Amino acid sequence: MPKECFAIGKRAVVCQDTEMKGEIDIGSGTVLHPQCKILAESGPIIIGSNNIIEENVTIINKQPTPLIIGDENVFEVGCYVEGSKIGNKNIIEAKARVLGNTSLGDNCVIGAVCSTKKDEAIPNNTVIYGDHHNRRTQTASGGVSFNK
Amino acid sequence: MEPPIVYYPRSEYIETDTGNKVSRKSVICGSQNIILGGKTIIQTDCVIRGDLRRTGGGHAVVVAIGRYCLLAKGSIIRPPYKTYKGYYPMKIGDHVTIGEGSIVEAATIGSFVHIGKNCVIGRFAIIKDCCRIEDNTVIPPNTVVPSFSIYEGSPGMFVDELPECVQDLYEAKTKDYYSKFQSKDS
Repeated sequence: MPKECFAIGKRAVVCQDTEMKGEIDIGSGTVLHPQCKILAESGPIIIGSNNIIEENVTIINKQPTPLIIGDENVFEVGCYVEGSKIGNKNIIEAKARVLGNTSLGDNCVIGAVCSTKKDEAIPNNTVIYGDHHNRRTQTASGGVSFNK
Repeated sequence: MEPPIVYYPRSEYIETDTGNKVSRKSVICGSQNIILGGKTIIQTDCVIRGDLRRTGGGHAVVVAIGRYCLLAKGSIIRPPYKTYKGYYPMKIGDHVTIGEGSIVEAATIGSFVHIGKNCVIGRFAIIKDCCRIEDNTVIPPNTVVPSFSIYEGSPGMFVDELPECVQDLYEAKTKDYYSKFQSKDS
């Protein structure tokens, strides 16, 4: 039975009505909207900074190894995340599912209602979209380029 | 083929003077910023985010819902947002049915609209009057769904046209559902 322990960074916003269980570490500037569920059932969950976790998102860690979520991700309404590692700047759109042991790189987009297979390592800059999900392309290098 | 009478335990719903029936198990954030037209039903596990608003006074109404609407179980209504600009107010018309588990982030929804189950309506979508969105549709952000159309699939595409009588059809359907949604002392 994992001990209940929350470490919440500064400027993070955790709304009422969120369900949090187990050992959770939330970075600074992260926002948890109401009705989201962070369940560190078997192992701890470490969430980075400046993430947005919207309503009805379920983040579960069913493995004893910690689930590490990077910075600046957006978890849109109703998604379900069970992977082993999530990088930075990803967008997981509404009702998407990240299953099993998959790990997500940086700058990925998992489209609405799409899901990953179990045990995949998704490289950086991947976009999963479409009706028969698992149709993937590489985006051009994502992110913002600054003028020097 | 008449729909059956649906009973709900009286203690589970709040009924207002204007005939709105709101489940106590729904999550209504920022209820002072939400307007319900009247005779609207909000079922269990619905989430309405009336607390997502721009700072700085101005609009006081974040979510405006019309009359005879139905928000089925588990639906989520939240206003759309633009980065660096904040959340925009959202307006839903009369006689709108939103199916179970649907996520609605649209900017406006017209009247006489039927949205199926498990739909995802993207940000800033505009759904005009008298439309039908089939089950499991994903409407991409910024889409404009024209009147009298049926959208289906992911991404949502125009599949069929609706006849002009659909206005009377949906009006009768929503009024009928409201009258059959009755409380029972359990």
